[in-house]
Amino acid sequence: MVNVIKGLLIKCDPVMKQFILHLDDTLKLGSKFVLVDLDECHLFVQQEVYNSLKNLIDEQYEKVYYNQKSSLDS
Amino acid sequence: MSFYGEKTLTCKNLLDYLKSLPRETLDKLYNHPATCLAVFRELPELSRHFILRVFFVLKPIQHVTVASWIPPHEPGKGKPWTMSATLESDPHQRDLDFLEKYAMDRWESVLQFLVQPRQGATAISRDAMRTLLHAGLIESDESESPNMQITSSGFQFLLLDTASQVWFFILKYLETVTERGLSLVECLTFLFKLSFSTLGKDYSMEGMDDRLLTFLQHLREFGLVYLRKRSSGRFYPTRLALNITAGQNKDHIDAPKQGNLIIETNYRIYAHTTSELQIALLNIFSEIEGRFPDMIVATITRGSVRSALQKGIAAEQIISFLRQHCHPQMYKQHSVVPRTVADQIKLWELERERLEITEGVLYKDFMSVHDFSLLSNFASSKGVLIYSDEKQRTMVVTKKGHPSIKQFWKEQSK
Repeated sequence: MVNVIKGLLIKCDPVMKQFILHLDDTLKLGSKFVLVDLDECHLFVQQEVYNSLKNLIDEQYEKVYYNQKSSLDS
Repeated sequence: MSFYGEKTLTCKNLLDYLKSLPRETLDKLYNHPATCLAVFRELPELSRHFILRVFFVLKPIQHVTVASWIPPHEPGKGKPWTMSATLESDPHQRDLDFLEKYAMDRWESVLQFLVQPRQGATAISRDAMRTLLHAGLIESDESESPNMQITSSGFQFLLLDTASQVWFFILKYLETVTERGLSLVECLTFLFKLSFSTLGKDYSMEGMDDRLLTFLQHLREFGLVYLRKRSSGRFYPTRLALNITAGQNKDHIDAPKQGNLIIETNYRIYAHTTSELQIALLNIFSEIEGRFPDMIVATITRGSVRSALQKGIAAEQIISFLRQHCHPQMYKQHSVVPRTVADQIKLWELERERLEITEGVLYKDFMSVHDFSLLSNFASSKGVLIYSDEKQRTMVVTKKGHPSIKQFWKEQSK
């Protein structure tokens, strides 16, 4: 029988995909949310995680970005 | 590009709005020549040709076409209101500059309220606030406190050009018009007539019934007409009213006020203005670094643009805002907003959009390759297939496409 699952299809570059898998493994969103790992650029996840996923990705960007101005102030 | 979860502000143009009205309303509207002319102007060239030709055919002529060119006779009070009613000259004649200033002051006070809603409800009228609420530009956080919060659509609205803003605002106002006891047809007809009036000429208020007078009062609050006082019996339309039906058609608009921003390739903005509103608008997406008696210095930084993006504003809106308010000297350059700045703002937006997300339904564990290819071919012929992998025999269709695929599958398994 064919399995039918509802959710969100995410298409991104391989780097982002690995990052999302990492979030999933370390349960950053509270529980596992990746339903199926499709291929290098595609993932299928639960519907509810859209907002929290966006926020986490933003946070990661903030950590990684080198802010020239703030380092000049200090 | 707007993905799942985000909404962008759309501004329906005149024709789309009219199409959304019920048939009887449209019939009544077309009874007035002003409406016909306004709609006619907006139509594409081919349609205009068709109309003009049908117009001169002697038989059979449509009743509607003939009826639309008879001057309107409104039932009820004495003389019907017409544009050409003569007046003796106004002792308090107002000139163009005054009207311009009045219109912009009123409109800016509405915008100012949007930018800083916490100052309480004293700045603008309750009607304006009601319309803003209905339009989704502000929302109240709790029912108790009178404080309002601006929404992401509100921010996008602030960065539009004035004509689009006025048009959007009036559209939303018209949507609430029936609740207030005014007739939609009357208001729309009146608006169309206004848009054909001459700037600087006063028009009599004789013969306008109560409902139309209320509408006129509201227009006065928004800055579309000027009344010295209610009893004066005459009103002046302002530039904002004239531009109502010219929203999409830019050559009808008179020259807007001069922009005063200078944008440099090092992301600095110099704004030669003292208007609080301009400063507040700049503050949305840039960091203000210095204030001088006649100038503001600001920088566009990644942080400031990101905070604007997080509020729901698109990069294109920021760039078009900058373009609109550019100092005339900037036009001499090849691209008005420096390429580096425009591209960088777009790149910062793309940073946030590394994921492309679609709601969908996944099918996997097909028994045979034949079943899989049958279903995936059907889905792609319907245009709802968004992912498919033959080796794994998994596929994803859009949420909307799912019911029809399910139906097809059921029929197949019989």
